[in-house]
Amino acid sequence: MKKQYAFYFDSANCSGCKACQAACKDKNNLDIGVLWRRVYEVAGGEWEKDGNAWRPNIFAYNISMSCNHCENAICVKNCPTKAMHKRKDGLVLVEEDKCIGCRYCEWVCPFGAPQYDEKNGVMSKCNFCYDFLEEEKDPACVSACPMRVLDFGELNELYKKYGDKGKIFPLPEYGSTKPSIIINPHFNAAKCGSLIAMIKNKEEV
Amino acid sequence: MKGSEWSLIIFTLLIQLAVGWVITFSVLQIKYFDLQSSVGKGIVSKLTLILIPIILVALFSSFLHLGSPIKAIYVFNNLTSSWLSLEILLVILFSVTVSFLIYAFNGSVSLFEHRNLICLLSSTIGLLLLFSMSKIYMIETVPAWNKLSTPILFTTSSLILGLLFLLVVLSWLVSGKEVDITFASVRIKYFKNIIMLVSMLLLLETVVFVVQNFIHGSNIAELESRRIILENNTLLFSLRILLNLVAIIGLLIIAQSTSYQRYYLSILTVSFFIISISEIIGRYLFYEMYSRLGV
Repeated sequence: MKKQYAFYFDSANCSGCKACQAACKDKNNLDIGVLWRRVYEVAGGEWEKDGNAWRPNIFAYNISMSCNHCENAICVKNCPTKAMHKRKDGLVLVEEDKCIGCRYCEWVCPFGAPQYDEKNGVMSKCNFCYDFLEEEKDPACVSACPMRVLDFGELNELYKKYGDKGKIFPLPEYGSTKPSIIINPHFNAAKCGSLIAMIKNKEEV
Repeated sequence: MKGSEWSLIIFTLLIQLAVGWVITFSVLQIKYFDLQSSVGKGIVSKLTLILIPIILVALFSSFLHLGSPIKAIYVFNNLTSSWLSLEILLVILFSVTVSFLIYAFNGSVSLFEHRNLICLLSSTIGLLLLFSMSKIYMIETVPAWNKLSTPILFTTSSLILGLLFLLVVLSWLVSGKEVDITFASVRIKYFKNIIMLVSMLLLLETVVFVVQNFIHGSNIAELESRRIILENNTLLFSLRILLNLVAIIGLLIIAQSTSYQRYYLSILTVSFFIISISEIIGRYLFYEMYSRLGV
């Protein structure tokens, strides 16, 4: 059976502390403006008439997103130089020696994973801390999370452990890239493609 | 909009102009150009030379978009699945065939004998290039670009710019020359037909440009694209439509006449500049409307 590394994220218990984001940035020595892992603050809702009363249906939750190392990665398909490639263990990596910095992967990825490194003129993204994996260590984000909402492993094993609970906003309805991520949704999570949910910290991510 | 996208605006418009030019030139040179007289040959020769700076500036501009252009040798690694890889190959093939075309009309007797074949080859590669360019932008995760309007607008831009630029340059080249008389009878008969064609293409382009912003899906990315164009860029959106309509009126004035007037050359030239500005605005808005599904 083909191996596919994946992340598990528990949105129901994420406090939005961004320790995962900071740990990733620190471990990979990322420049300002480059975020391989991004914590999105999602909120929305309004007032609803309920008989003679008005009730709020507001909601808010966090979602920590890095590269989903998709089974059918659209970035790999469209990269002209094959700098973006998928390994046998399912990890999608960037080979900087071949990357021309055309940013086409940035245009096509529905998860905002590829990030342009202005200093070096190449694309960069979450590499699942593959060097840590080789040393049998956890990825930096997983280790750093104080709420233990991040987990990782082989996708099928994660499905057995947590089940498939579908996707939530802001992940797209479009799913042909087959993202390798399992999310435990917040009880108030908005559905994919929701028009009332919004990312409230766009300037940060 | 990012600075790197201005280089893409310049690249796409100039290459599309070159493709439109080659297609127009190929059609006209077969039947309408005077290739018997030395003056006629000289004019046609100069007409082809204008392609050199256009393609060179386009190619230079394409490199400005890259973060690491020095690694450009790897761009052919993914011809089987990347439209960008294929487009770059077609740009190079197009440039090579255009070089042969220029050489055919500027000295090479052997190539001159095969000029029709070279023109056909250049035009075919040009059309494939337009197609691949459209496919690059028809990304499934960018709904505003993933529409039929993308290839339609790319094709109309190519034909309008190429046709009109060739006409303008040709008209200035023949103006005052002894071939003027020969070209005059050709000009009146076919010139008007070409102007009518450009006007119709402009009208089609304007309609498609307007309609694409009002017929859209209900997903958040398309709504965002629509908001960017109609709310954040209202002035530019309106200006593009206005410029196209002014150009159409100018061209129709020429097309409706029964005899050639000297000032028509000025109207034609001004129309070309108006259309060029409109095309730059249109391409700028095209990149501005980028909004991706998902995060």
